[in-house]
Amino acid sequence: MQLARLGLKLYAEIPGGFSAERVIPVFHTWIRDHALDEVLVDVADYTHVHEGPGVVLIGHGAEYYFDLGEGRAGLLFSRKREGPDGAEARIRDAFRRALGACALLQKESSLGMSFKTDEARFTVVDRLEANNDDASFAALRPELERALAGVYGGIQFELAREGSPKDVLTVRIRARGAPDVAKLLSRLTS
Amino acid sequence: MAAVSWKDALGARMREDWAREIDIFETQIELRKLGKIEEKLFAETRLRRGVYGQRYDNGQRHDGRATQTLAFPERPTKGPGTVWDAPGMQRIKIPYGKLGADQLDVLSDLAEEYSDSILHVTTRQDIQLHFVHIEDTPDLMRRLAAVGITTREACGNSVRNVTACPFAGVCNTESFDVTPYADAITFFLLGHDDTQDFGRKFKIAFSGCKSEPCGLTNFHDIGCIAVTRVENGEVRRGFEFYVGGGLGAVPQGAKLLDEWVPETELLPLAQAVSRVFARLGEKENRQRARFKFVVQKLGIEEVRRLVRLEREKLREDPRWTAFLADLHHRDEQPLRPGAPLAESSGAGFAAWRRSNVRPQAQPGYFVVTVTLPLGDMTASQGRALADLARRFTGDTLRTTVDQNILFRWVSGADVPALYEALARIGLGEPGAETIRDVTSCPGTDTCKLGISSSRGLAGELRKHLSVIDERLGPAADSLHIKCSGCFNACGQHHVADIGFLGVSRNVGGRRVPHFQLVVGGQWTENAAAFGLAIGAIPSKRVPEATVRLSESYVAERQDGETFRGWVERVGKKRIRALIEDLIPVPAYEVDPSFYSDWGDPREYTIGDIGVGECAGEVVSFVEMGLAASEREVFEAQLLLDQGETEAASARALSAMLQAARALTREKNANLGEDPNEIVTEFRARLVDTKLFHDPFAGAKFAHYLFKAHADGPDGISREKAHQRIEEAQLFVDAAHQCHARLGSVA
Repeated sequence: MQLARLGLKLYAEIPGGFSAERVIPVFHTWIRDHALDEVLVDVADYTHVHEGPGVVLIGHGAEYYFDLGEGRAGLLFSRKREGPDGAEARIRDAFRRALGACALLQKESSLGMSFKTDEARFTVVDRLEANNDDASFAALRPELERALAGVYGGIQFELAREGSPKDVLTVRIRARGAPDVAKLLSRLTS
Repeated sequence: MAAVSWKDALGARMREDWAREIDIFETQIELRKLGKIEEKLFAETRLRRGVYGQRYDNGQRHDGRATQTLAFPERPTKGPGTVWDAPGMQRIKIPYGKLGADQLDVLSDLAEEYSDSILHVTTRQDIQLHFVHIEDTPDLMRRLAAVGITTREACGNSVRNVTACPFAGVCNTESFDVTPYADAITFFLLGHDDTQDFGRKFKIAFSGCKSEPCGLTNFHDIGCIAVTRVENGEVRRGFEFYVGGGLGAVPQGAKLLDEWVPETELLPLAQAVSRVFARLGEKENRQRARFKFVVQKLGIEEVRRLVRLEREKLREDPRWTAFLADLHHRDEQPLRPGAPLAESSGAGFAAWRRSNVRPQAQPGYFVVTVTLPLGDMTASQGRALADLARRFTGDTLRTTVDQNILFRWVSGADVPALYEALARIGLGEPGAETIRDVTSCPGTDTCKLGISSSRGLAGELRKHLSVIDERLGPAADSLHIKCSGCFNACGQHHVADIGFLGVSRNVGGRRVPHFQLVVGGQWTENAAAFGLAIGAIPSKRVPEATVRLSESYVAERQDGETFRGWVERVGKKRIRALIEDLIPVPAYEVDPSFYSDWGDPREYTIGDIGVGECAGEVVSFVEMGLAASEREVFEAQLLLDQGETEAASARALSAMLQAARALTREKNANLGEDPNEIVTEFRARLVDTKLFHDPFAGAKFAHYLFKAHADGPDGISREKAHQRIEEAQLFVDAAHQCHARLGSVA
């Protein structure tokens, strides 16, 4: 698979509850301070819609959602164009960028949030390339497993396809005992 | 096995001519990337495919402290000053708002894959996707074409989406179903030779009756209201045919071109009007290029004569009447048997049913309105709505100008189940078409011309009004609140009971987002009347102002009195007094929150909408003069209310002179108070030098002063005086902007 368009969501734990008023300024600051290795353009607030994209940091090659889909808050990295060549490299890149954003969000004391690393949701956001069916999952699986082996090291992980046929190809990743954001990130950036 | 391209995958499912058009557009994209198409030509080309610019697409963005260059790759532009890789907006025409389940599925998929998973319903029944890359648009168009949707002429100087009452065919007050007529005119004029040489956009609307607002025909270039006549014992169908209406900076009500246009004459007459517009419409000055200016300039009698002449010259076209042979082939059929409205004890059902369910003309069937917050739904919600349409109605959805979605032909027995299903996907909110159902244009969120955050304000108003909804009671339910981010009025604030128009003000050397309060517009009778401005309120105090106005109306209204009636009875002076204390802005050091807009923590700036902001000092004399001119505009409104037409007109002119003098004195300290001298000096020092020019409207606002000065107040009609007051307000707003530019307040 090419994986020109893909999504990776890491789930947040926010004991004090989610607040768009606190997240929006952080994303604006990221644009101003060039905090990410991306061309960042704007911030869009969709918290008025039910279980929607939440707050979106719009970029040229990729976007970062503080996503509220599924009724669960999390950081969703969405690759739309550019990025490295090859499916495995693109998946690893997605993890590196998503974890990098999570690390920055965790540092923001005003947000009071942390991110789980034992669960993630991977999507192929391109219905031409993949349907949400077993055949597409089988085609994706080898490259996804190779990439995840590099992300999690020796930690065992499980993959399961989920969702309806109308959804984009959606894979739930579970990796019990995965190290925290900082450790995963250091593995990917070293 | 997955296909290699959408073109291959969908080939046979697209209309051949549409597929060819998209191929051509894709080629044009490639040629532009190679620099082989001139940028202005390419810009109009993409606009005519609905591929529109978005805020920051000049590659510049103010971060609250300074303007930064966005580091997009170096590529050719996609139009003057428009960076190739900057995200843009794709407008998708949904003729008369009719949407099938399969179409909504595809739209949702496109939002998810090419946009940010949000579908936005506009105030003209379109759907817009934001943050779309231009190179994704050909495939996006192919996927739409495969389900019968074209984006052709969704933007640009063309016939825009043809809108119609979303209740057409199921309405209790309509003369007949306008759906097939709206459909016929849509596809007759799409790409027609006679609509390809417009100087500006052209909008058409249909209404099934005169009394309701749904068609909003009064502010369209062509507005058609269904009427019938009995001739020789037979009921004949036709239309009251209006032309030359429009909103924008100065709204103009449409004029009756013909009180009876038989159905056989609908298409040829629209074609003849198109020819007149193409021939006589302004081509150079975009600010005066809409058809309403042709009507204004020539008068309706002359326009009528010219249209009739053109009509006589047209070559016969079988399409004019072909559609009449099978008017009912698109009629919607119910999926389930009709039944009385079932009750439910479920939480929230009763309130939702009161506001969101109304009986159809057909017994046993109901129209259900899905309230979309700010006109938005997620891709997941879109697909879920499509499934619900299949389950409950077969295939019948319509978008509305209130930025909602309608289910039609819902059996009364199914209403509770539909509510439960909507509630499960977060779309069971009550309050459709009530005070809390606030509509808004995109404003500063995504629009290049936005001055204030209309969506941010609308969201905030929804929160406030949802809380006090019950306290206000049913009297306030009928109020319509509409927000526009700038004077272009895409939020349709002119025809709201309470409307807001984004402006900015300079306070102590900093910019402060404001909204001009406009009250007393009329939504009913196809938006029969436009409101007038009361005063500019700091954005952060608009919710409080809205609550005060609503509460005062509820407390003071007399039996059956509308909001407009209340405004007329108590007078604008009283309305102004209600909000007067909300107008002053605290110093930045006291409360900096006033200096940022709703939903945007950056310090507020208008730098993202204009260029050439330069450094300078704020001069108190100017501010005083501008404040005095604002006061005079308000006084002119009061005079008009009192029936003193000439005095009102003179005061409006005086307001403009006051503002012009305040600005010009900066350049000529010896400037006197003689109006001729003020106008001469203002022209020489601020207009000829282009210092007064609005970055987008050019000298438009200066010409309001020149015209008023030349015409004088004598013998002016009430309608003209009303218009002059509107123009004076805009002139004063432009003077504020000019002052800010000259004084370097971003």
